[in-house]
Amino acid sequence: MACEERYDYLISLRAAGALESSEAAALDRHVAECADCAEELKAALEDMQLFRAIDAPLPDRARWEKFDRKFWEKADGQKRADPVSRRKFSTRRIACAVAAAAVIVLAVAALWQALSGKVPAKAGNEMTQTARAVPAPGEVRKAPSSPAQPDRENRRAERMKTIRAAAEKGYLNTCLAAMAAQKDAIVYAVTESWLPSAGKDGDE
Amino acid sequence: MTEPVDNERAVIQRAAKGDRKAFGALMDAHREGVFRTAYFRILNFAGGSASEEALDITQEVFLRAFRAIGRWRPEAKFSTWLQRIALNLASNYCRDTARRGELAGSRATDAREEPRAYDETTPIVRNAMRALSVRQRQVFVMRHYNDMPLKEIAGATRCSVSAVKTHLARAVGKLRGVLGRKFAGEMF
Repeated sequence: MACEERYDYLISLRAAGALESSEAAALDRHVAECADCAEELKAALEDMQLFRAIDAPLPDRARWEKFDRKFWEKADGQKRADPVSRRKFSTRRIACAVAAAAVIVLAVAALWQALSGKVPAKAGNEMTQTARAVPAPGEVRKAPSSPAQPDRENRRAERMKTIRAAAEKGYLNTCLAAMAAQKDAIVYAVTESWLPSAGKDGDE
Repeated sequence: MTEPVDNERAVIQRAAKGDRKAFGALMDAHREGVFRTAYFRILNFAGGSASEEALDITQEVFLRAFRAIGRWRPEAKFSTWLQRIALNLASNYCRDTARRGELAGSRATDAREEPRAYDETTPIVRNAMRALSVRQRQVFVMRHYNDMPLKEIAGATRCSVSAVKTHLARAVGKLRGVLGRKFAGEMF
């Protein structure tokens, strides 16, 4: 039959209560003229009534009450457990830890800088420059390049003088102790070959 | 069918602020629909204990909703949201059961505990529903038993409305074929 396919679809939708108004009008017009489809529609609606009667086995009131009790027990358990897990894994907690670590690193860097008197990244360059700037024995010392650091340059020159004197006299330990206090002197001492001559005599 | 909640949005907002009574009202209004969806989805996998398992899934659905209700947005209908959670959890159950080798049907029914008193209608429903594909069953249950509008069903199943209608029409056709024969033999 020509009407079968299209109207079977519409009849099924009507039986399921899912027919839109335009489709409903088309079906109504058709069943008014087609006895087979009218019969089919009636049967489909009856079948769906039968189906409604065999719904899923819904729990009775007592079971729903038990369900509610169990639900709230679990929900309360979750609530109690949640703050702990939040404390353990929350983003805020991780952010605080990272911030604290950053503060510690900055504090250590600042302390190191204050103690050594220079920025770590520039230390190597400054050392080399300072070593080159150390005056040779008897040489008149030049004025410091930066007016902001005259005291530091003077202190460094003093320490270098001490190192040179100790090295010239062969007091190795004194020389090394002074050099430990003034790292720049290591570069200077190596480049000027003072250490070998100082090491010959020793200072027991 | 349970009574719908008046002004559901306001009730949801109260529930999101921790009002247990409001969440209880939402649960009362939607639990049967969620139970049906879970029950018919796991029917082939849970055997005689489908009711028990569906009840457990229903509880898990509401626990998840309770936990996440603060994230619910009014653009989505609450029932659609719940149905989607139910479908996901029920599908997970089916997948896990199949993985464990506890496959559906009569073997599982035989192996598990005897059906309880409220499972008396299970064989009729199960036999008829087995004729349907998973999607056809989902769509049919949501429309026929839960009275959900097509648009909501489309949202919950992530299908278009026209696809929902096609599944629905096919489901009705298949069920009428199965049931028609069954009831013709038994009743007349």
